[in-house]
Amino acid sequence: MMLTLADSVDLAKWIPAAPFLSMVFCAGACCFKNEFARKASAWVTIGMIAFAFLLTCMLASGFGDAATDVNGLKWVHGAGFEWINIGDFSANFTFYIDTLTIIMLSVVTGIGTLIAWYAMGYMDGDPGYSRFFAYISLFIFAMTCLVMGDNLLLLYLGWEGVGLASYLLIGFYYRKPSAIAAAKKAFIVNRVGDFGFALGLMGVFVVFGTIQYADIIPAAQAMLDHAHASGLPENAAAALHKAEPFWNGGHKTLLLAAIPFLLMMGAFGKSAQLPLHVWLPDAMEGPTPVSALIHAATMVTAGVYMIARLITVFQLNPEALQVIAAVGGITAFFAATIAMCQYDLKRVWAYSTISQLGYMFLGVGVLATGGAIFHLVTHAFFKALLFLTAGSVMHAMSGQLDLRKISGLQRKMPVTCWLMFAGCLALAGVPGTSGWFSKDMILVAAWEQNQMLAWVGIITALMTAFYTFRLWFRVFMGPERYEMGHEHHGYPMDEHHGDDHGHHAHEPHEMPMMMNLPLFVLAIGAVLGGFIFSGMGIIDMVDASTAHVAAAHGPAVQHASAAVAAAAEKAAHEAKEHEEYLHNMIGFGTGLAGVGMILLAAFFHWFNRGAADIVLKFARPVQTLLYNKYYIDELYDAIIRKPLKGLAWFSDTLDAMLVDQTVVDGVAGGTPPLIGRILRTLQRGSLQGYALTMGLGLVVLVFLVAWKVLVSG
Amino acid sequence: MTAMAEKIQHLTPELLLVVAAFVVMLLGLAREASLRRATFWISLLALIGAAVLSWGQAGVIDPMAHFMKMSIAAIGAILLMVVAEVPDEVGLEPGDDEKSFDPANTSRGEFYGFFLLSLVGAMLCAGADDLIWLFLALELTSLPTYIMVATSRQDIRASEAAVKYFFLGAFAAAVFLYGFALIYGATGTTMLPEIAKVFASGPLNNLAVAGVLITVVGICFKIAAVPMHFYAADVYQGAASPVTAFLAFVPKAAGMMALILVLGAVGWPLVNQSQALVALLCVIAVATMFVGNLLALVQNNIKRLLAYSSVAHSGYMLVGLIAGPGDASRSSWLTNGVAAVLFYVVAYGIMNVAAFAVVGLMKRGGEEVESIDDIRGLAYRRPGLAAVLAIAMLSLAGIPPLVGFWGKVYLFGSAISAGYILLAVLAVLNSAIGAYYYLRVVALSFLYEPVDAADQAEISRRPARTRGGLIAAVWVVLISVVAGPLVDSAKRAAGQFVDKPETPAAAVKPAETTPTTPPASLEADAPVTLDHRESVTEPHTPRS
Repeated sequence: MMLTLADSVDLAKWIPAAPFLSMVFCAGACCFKNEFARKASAWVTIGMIAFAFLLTCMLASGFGDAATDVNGLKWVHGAGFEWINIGDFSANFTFYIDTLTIIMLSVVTGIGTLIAWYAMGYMDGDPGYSRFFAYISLFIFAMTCLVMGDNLLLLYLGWEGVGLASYLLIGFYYRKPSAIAAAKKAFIVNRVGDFGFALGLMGVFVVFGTIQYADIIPAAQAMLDHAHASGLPENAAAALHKAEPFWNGGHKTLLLAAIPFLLMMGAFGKSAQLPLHVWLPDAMEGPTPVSALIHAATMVTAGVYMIARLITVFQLNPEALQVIAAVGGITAFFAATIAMCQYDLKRVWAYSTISQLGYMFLGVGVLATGGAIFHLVTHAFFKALLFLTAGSVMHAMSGQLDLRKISGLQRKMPVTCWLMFAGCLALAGVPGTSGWFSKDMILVAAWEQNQMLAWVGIITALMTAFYTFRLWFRVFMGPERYEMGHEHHGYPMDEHHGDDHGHHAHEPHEMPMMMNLPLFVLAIGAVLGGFIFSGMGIIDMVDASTAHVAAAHGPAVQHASAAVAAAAEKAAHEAKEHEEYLHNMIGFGTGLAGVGMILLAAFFHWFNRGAADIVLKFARPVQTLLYNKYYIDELYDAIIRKPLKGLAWFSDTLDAMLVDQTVVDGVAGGTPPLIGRILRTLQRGSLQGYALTMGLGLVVLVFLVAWKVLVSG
Repeated sequence: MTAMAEKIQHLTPELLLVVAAFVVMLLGLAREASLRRATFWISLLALIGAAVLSWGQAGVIDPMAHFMKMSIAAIGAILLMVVAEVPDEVGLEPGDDEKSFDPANTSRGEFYGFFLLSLVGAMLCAGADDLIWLFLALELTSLPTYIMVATSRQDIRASEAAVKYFFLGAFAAAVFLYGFALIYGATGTTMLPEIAKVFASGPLNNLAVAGVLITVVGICFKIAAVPMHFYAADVYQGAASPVTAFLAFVPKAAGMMALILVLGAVGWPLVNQSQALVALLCVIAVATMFVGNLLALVQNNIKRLLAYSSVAHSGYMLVGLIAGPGDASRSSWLTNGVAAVLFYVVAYGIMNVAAFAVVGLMKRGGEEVESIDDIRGLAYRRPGLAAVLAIAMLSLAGIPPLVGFWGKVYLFGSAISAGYILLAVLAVLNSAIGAYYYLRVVALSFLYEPVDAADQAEISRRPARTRGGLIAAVWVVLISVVAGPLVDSAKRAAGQFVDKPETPAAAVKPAETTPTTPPASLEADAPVTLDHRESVTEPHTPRS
């Protein structure tokens, strides 16, 4: 089929529309309990997401020629429909499509298709089958809106939409108290971040007078150039503050400096960075495909996307970027330490996700947006793979996830074993795998800006290699020993008496080929993704969307004379060589050290598990601290939840005694009904009475008007 | 005569409905039950056809007529589903047996026929350009409704309601016809565009003010506004709930359009034409909002509650009508009161249908429920119906992001941008009062356990009505989320009032010296609501 480029952009509106339609379909299918409705909802969902992926591919192929170059940014405007237009404020359902959007869309719809495919088998037999796919469609719809929207409000809509989908899916097993608690926790913790995000959004409107990317980004770029030109490259907001004539209104400059911090809060909440990371590990209460799709591959990376999209606005306040980089680095390290001491399979991956997201924040913080987004893509592949294989283990073991109770499953589940191995290689950053490529990009960029943070990143990489293979060796290697769990589809086994599908034998078993098929695709991406994506020029693609980053990064060269230009060229050449040297040192150094850590893990967790216990005996306090996740949940409970509860109790008492009894019941609540009762006496029900009152009313009004006319003419 | 032929050409949707009405009346007397049942489908197809035909008339007829004809036909289709089973419920309807058929004992044909004719009246109102046409259209809207009320139930209260409605309706018709006559006297023409030309030359003379005043008060009957609102509660209570849904929308829409047309002929901003008229409208709007809301507040009868809520909503719409379309150069949404009214009429129609459909489904011993307590715990018994009711109530209360909220934003926003701050404040205060009784209904259905099974109101099986309510609720949600297209078409519909040719008298200050001095005794009790506008009037110059 030969479609012109304009067509592929026109079709872009179907990318969110397709999952929306499947959501409506699945919601309808929820009303029918028969097998056909269940099957249909799965197939329609997969079909629609795959269709969206196809459209994304068409968009990608048609993009190059359709894009217009505005201020160094190549993007296309995708038509949608008018949404809100009040006064000067406009936010429409229209799309901003550039290479960054296309990368994000490919991840969301591509990985979404694979995971939905897996879920079709995984969720089989669940009473909420259609409901599950309705939620998944809702999620994909919201996520595509999030990455495609051409304004911050549409981003916010998608942001809250994915939050809603996440809430619904974490609490999918709604009869399980822990799932409900986890869902609420996720929702409430995210509110904290979203509060900041909403303020940031309003701040952007106040400062820039618009929330359209197409207007914000060039405006921010102009301010940035102005700051560079006036010789204050460190802090553009401060420069603007000094250069008052350029921009009047001091409060706006302060607000401008605050906006990155406010937006950052939202990103930290959604992407589970310190101190708002507490919800993500608990989110593993949801079905495993959800953990893979939402809580590893796509939704949690929304924060990274948002910062990358608005990187120009963040650049206006370099301190904000430093904070992002520091929080990212610390979170990466901190979560990796916790992951070392967790026994729950999915929790290890959850903390590992937090840690890897930390890398991405470190990346955007040091302006390596290319590296950060590259890591986002590779992480989506290998972490989805790891979660789905963990799901296979969980499925096979009837909900058993405790590392201490599973061992040597290699012979029972050979395919799963080697699929997870592929994912582990990538996560551990073994040279040549996708994770190694992308992590290296971030580390090198960090090294050039802040060696401390780079070291934190490198040490974290080593710990990552260790805990990844600790898990893998524990589960698949060593003596074959296991205890089956007691769960079936999220609920204790005995709740399902007349269970009709018989594949729940008392032995672990391999997944059917249908379910493993998508995992092979993910495994190829995880292992070879580095070559594939860098071959596709992913870094250039991201840089094209955030082109100004590169320009602003180095010293301003545009005014340079010929001699200076030559010197600059030489310097650039040297910088390039230096960078290559760094890539070799950091990349291979970290990679090889990582392999060493894998061997160490093999020693402690495969060949000589007794030794691990001996080491643990000496490090008991540390291990307890890490196992309990630094007691952060308990800390929040003590300093936030308990005081809030006290305040709530106090307010409740005050409300009941003072407000309700006197103000509401007495004054505000009493007066209107009183007048109502008086008016009611006019409604006596007699026809003549009504006619008389109507006539009198007319007379009164005529009199009123006559008088008015006489008074004022 | 060519003008007449051209007019007829533009009436294809109405003609289709008239033909359908006669076909339905005849088929309603058919011996075969299946033919009698087909009347529903014929009516539905005719309504959809009328909506499509109206849609095709874009650019041919006036934009407001285009918008309202389409909306009335479309909402009429939903209303038809809600009222469809009323003839069956009357209890006289013969069974499938051909032998037992007695033509005297069936009301299906008439009921659907009059239903369609009343809609035709409302659609004709939208396109009226002549006072006589307007009068006839208004009466065509109302007359069939009297019969619909009378035949909707086998109950003495229905007959009582119909009689009251008929007599008071006749009284009101006499009032506004008298107003029309005075307008004719003042201008010498019944053609609205001609009247507008005469009025455009400056402030209205006293005869014209009297004419417009009496017309407005008379039309207040159609929209159930003070002081002509008294019938509303009794009639709404007496008629079967589905018919009440009809009464709360169709005559109101027709009346609203009549008001827009008459005031459009007077020309906005109204203060330039007659301050007294503005004062009158402000008094009516404020009184209508307060009376409707306060009376609804003390009701325990769900139908009376909705009746008074309907009164209150007329008050809200009058606020937008007073504000007028604003000036064209600042044609943002929040300045166009007429567009806001048109938007609100449609939105109100849909949410109202959803609310009455649910009420109409609840029965107690074969009779409709009346007490609000029968809704208690509905969510535990029929979550779907409770959701429909909740959506309707929340939207009526104006809870964001539902369409009722947007409608109110536009209405009150237009009042603010036209300078009627006090009016807008009072309107918002009224929304707050209104929220109380709407939320009470929602709370009863969701937060209270149902009463014992023995004492519960039964929920009758009325598939068409259930579907009608559901469709209405879906539409409420849909236009809440995607208000854009409706907002735009309402704005386009109001365009004919925005782009009026600039009147030479527009800048003339209306405060001329009075011919006679006012009686001093009356000066003291000048109502507050009337005077707030005057300070704004003085510097009234066209904004840039």
